[in-house]
Amino acid sequence: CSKFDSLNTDPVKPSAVTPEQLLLSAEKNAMDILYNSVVNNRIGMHYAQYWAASDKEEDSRYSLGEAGNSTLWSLYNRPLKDLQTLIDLNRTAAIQDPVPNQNAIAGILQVWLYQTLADAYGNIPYSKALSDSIPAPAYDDAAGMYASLLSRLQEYQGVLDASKDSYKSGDVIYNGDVMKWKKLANSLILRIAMRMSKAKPAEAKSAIETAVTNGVITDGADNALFPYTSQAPNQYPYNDFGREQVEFVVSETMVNYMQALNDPRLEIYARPAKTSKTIVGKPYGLGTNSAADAQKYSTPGVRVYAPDFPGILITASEVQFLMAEAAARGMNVGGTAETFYKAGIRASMNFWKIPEAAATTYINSVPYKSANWKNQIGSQKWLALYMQGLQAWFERLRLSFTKPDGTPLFIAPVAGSLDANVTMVPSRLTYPVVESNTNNKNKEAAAAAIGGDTKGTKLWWQ
Amino acid sequence: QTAPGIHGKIIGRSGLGLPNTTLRLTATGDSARTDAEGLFSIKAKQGDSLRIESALLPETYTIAVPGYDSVLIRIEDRQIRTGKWSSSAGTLKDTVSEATNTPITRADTVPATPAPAPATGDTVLIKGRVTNSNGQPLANASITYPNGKMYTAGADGTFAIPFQQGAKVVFSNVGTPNLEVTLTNPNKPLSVRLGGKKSSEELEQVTVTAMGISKKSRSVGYAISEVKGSEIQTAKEVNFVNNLAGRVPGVNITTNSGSMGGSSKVTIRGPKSILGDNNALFVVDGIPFSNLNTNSYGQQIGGGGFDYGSPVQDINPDDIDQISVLKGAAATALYGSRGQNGVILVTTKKTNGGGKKIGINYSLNVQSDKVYVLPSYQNKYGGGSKPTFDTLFYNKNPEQFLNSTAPTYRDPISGGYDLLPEFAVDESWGPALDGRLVRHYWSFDPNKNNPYFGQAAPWAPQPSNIKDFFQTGLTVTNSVSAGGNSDKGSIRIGLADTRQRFVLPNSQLSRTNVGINGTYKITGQLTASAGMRYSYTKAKGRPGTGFTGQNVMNLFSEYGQRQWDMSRMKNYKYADGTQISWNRKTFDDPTPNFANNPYWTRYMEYQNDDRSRLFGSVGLEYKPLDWLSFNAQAFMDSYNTLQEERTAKDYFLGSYARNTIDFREMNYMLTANIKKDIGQRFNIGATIGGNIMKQNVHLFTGATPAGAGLITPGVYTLVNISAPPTITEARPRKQINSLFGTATIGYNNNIFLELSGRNDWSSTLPAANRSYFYPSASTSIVFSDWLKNAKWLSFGKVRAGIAQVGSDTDPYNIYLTYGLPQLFNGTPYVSVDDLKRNPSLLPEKTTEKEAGIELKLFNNRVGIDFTYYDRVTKNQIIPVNVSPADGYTQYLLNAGSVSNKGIELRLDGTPVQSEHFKWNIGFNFSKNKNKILDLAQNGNEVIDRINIGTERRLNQVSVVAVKGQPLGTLYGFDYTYLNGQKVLDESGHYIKTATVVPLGSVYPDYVGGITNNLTYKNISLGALVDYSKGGKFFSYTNMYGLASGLLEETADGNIRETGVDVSGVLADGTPFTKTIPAMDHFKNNFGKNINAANIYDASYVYLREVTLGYQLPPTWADKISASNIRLSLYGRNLWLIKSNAPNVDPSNIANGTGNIQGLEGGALPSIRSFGLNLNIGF
Repeated sequence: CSKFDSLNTDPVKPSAVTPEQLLLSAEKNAMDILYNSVVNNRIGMHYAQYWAASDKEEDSRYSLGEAGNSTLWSLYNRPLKDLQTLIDLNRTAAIQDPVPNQNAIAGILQVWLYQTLADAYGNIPYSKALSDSIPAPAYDDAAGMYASLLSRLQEYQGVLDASKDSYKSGDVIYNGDVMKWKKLANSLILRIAMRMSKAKPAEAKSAIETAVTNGVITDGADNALFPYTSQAPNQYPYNDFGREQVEFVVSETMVNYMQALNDPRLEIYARPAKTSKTIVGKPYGLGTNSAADAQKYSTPGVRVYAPDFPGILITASEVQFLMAEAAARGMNVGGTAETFYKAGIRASMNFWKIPEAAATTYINSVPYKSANWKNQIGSQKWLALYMQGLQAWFERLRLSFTKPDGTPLFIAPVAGSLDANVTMVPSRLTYPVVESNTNNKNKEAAAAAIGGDTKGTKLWWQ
Repeated sequence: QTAPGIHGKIIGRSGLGLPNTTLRLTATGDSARTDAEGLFSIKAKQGDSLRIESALLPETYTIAVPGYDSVLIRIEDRQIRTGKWSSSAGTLKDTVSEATNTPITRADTVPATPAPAPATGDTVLIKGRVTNSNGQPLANASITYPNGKMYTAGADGTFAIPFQQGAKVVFSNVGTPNLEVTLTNPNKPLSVRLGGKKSSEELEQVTVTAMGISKKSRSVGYAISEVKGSEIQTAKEVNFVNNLAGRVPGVNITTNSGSMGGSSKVTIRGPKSILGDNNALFVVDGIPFSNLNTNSYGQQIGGGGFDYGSPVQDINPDDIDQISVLKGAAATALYGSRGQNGVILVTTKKTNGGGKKIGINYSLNVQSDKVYVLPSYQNKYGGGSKPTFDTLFYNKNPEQFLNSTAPTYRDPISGGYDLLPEFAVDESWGPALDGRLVRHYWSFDPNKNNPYFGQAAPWAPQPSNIKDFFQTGLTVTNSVSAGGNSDKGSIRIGLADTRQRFVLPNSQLSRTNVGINGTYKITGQLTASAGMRYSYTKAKGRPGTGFTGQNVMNLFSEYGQRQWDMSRMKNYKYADGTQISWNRKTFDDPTPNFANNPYWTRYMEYQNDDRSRLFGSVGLEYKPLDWLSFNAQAFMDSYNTLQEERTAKDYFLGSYARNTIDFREMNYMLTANIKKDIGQRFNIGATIGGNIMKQNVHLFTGATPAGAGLITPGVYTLVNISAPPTITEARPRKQINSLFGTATIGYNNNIFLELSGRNDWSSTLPAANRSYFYPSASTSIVFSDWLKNAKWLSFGKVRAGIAQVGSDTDPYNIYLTYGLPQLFNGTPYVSVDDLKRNPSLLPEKTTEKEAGIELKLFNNRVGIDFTYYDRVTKNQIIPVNVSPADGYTQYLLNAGSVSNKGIELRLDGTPVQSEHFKWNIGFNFSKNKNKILDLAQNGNEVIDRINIGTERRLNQVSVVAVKGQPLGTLYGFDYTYLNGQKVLDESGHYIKTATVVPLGSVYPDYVGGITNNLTYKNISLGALVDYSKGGKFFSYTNMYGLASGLLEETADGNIRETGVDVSGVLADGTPFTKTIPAMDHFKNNFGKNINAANIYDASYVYLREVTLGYQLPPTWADKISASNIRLSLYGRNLWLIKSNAPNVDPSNIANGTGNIQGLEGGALPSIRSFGLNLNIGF
């Protein structure tokens, strides 16, 4: 009988795994999913109105592609599951010394991903998720989940201890540097707390002030980036190495605004259109769907289509803008809104490798105006969040900013929305069809709890 | 001293043993009784008078014991003959063919009375041939003279017998009425046709059952359908399985004639397993024959790939003697878990000649193939996204013109210009095809020495362009075999060669089959048998399938431009090797925007594959006693497959993928067999045995990773890749040990009870659940034996059976494993597998009850065979798709019960039967009702639905299992209705349902076929119509064809100019009428948004096959020393008589043999074939 057991043991697949192997799998899979074309390009970059469609106009008009929807949802069974397995296996590890650091880092990544899902959908499976047993998990209330996410990050940043071992390999974001992970944890607290600042201002304030005291990412060297390489298969998920991509063009919204501001980043964000040799944006949601658009309008820039473009988790620029907003909202974050605002723009300029002088000129041309801080910070943060489609869309929803002069920055799709529940921009994504097929009762309950499973349902923090 | 003994066998006309027959020595009164096989042994010596009595015989006979100790006694009506029994007969594995070959050769045949007068040299002989009602030769027919002298015709039906003017000779043969012929002219060859069936012979019909055990048909208590090899050898398909469609009740075959050697899905009595394999098991001469389908999940959900087909097609159709379809659990229980989906038992020919003769057979099959069902395309508008052309001015781009006077048009201000279509757009919402001169895609690239540079040509319709792309296919099969018998054994060798040039450019398939099998009698008690067959299949340029650029239909029907001129398109590359694509980015950038030139696809990006397969068996039979034998057999099936796929390095990076499959399975089986009488009225036949099955598979794939490409163009190897290849490996292996037994008890030869049991131990299950037993019982009662006065009833039998079958799972489903290790920038990483394994899996359990009745009426002119079955499969082992929030996408569970209930009906009739003309009709019908009873695990509902597959592009339409619904229900978004009216929004777009809803089952309600055979003298005409009612599918061809403006419907009348009326109500119920642009309508109001809009009914009625055969007169055959020549003309897939689905052939949309059906991803055209078949026997 033991012969049968050995016969039934898979000879090609491993039956054991190390924390390092699982961590790298999680980091890579998380980025591969979030920057997959169907997620970032067809949902995020559209809903943030950076880009417009050239081959599938319905993307711009809010007819959500189920491929992107289900891919985003696969954060659960890919990185989140890898991280959970890592944490669970570590509990029984022979050598316990690196475990606190390792599990804290894994936990930080989980929090990052859970927040992304909660901001995209509202209530999602959380406390019962990844439970390793059926039945399918119930959905958690998103607001309650936020509290949990914040407290977990608080705990992790306290646990992280540079004197103890961490990951010896496998952490390609920070190479096992515990102190950088600590800053990342606190920076994510900023992101989470700020997103709930409208719904729960007091909790947000306290969390943000504590996080800033504990240390956040302020230097571009500490940016949390996933270093895709130019070698297949480890390239940025969407690149034009093999074939010049034609599925997306930049939006007229972004091009016109950046041209008006004389923004030096435009040359990087977009490339000249083939026919006119100048940068031309396509009116968002135009309603005509033509592959010829990729000749007529500008496609995104060479740098953002490069195979080694990084997967972005969070950057110093975003943190600076968060602190600017915190200051503008009257929180004590150790500086003025204006200082942080300028530092936010400068960090973005550095990220996109804009020469110092050009950056300074630009910063001076878009001065901070405290009376209009929301639009000022919102519009500049939007320009800085380029390529982080989902985050930019969330911030667009949260701040609903305009141009600093109060005129609208965004437009409704020119040919109208294809979703009867949405006119301007979706407030959320509808739950993926895979949930209808596998977890329908819980999904229906969650839909009822948030006020209906439509793209028009406003989430609790909006 | 006791008298010396004799032993032997009493056989009837058919050559099969007569059971329950008493032999009594008139002198002493000593008696013996034949066993179930007609075997006897009695103490007697030459010259003793022996009386033979049997309830089955019309009278009592007396013979003198002949001078042999092995006697064959043949009883036919009022005649009795004895001969020396010198065959290897007497085995429990008597089959029809072996039995009919029992050599009563002319030399050995002596009539009982009077003594024969030997045919001397100066006797005038008359020649002739005996054929069956279809004109095919009948082997070994008996020819009896009035004086009792008897001759036997040859295996090819020919004979030469002494001519006696006016003599009335009687021709007789197995299962046919005797025919008396008066001899009149010695110079005119006799053509003797024996037809029809005879009631008394029903007693002796034999059916091949599980494990190849032959049983009297009357004793079998479950439904088995048989198809003769000859039925599928004329209108030949490369894969013989496709020939079974419509011929066998209870069997559903779905295939795809457009895919060149593609998949054929064979389900018997409906799908039982939610996610497991539902395909029937093939067993060839006892060898479980692997039919592993390699089509990927992605392909089955309508994605791209190639259909590598079902490996069962490695069998040479010409080798097939008979196919038995074992349908229910009672029939298949002896095969254990592997037989749970029904078994197709293929018996190959064992010999060609009868007697000691060597028989040689040659057949030639030539077939021409043409595409049949293609979508209806619109021919009014060309490619583009708008009704106007762009312009190319000489002043701005003089380099794009031959000279300043070249521009076709002239603008008073801007000067000369040409009109430019939108090459980059892969849709046909462009300008009307009004014949205006434009610059087509082929008129640019002056730097590539383009001879057509600068030329303008009309923007004109090309109504036959898609048809023009396809060529006429040609398939030629040569097949030759030789074989014969001696008293030591038999042998047959065969060779076949099939070459197919398919309808697509650069597509071909070839197959070579060689085989040998034979038996040899080592001693009187020991017989050795062996058979070995080899096949080599090679294909190049299989059609790409589904939604992918490698499927040319994707360009023709889903995304393309209607104005293509195929004679221009054929010019697919420049002298420097770069592609000329219709889909160039701009006039000055030849890079394809999305798609290749279809000829480039066919000639530069073809795939190729080959498979060499060796299968066979060796066996020894030891028969120490008349009623006891032992068999030891070993069976082997092994093959190696290589599949190579490529895309060219040109404007794109190029890629290469290699996939190999090495398969090996060995079975070792030992059985003991008993056949014995118990008392006067009972007899028993039993087999007990054991089997060890070992299976080893190695799957290897090496492929270019995404984002990498070829280093050197045109070199396709795993080292010519710009990054390390992505390697995937799997090595499934398993072992099943089994013990089994079966026994049939007969009473009076008209009541039978069969019991069988099998226990399997499978390596794939956890130790505690590894062993599982399944019993079966069936009974058969021949009630017509008691109704002898009912003249209208020729034969009547009722049967009933119940059985339970267990089933194991795939290897490696118990213990936790992680994903295959990968590297990121030199650092390894490993993911958790998406499939959660289960250490406490139980075997699946199926219980099936069936009952049936078989009637033959009015002297066999009408036959009825009816079966009802009720089957429940519980504890299904399924990788249940679970919420990804569980941390996996699939859990392996024992969950769910599926019920299949249905009826099978077969009616046969002979409305007309005269001396020269005969008309046979066969009708079969099977209806299966399938339902998911629950999705419970141990009584608890753990899931509310199981997703079987989701189409890949929209990710919306799924094949789903839901409690209370049929297995394989399509789910998707439907229209919303208010008071029966479709709800629209203000912009004229239909509002879809809030969530996915059921849109119908993919499986048909009922299927069947009608055969008609007309015979007039030497000519026969046969036709097969098959039909399928119900079942739904989701069609990409229609959805994308409409969205892209390619199909006829999108250019109906002048809707492109005036718009389309959309009527309905708004959400608040107010009536709403609006006209919206056609493009908007077809893009947003169809399947991409409202999935239900592109769900279609898959019903069809098809004239599948017509065969016209002619048996050449013997005088012609004699000229080449042949014994018979038969010529047939045939057609396959001739006429789709009725279909409710637009633009595709609903009988032709299979993407694989998996459970994901009903997702049409870009249908290939169906193929209509005409052929000629020549068969010569020597």
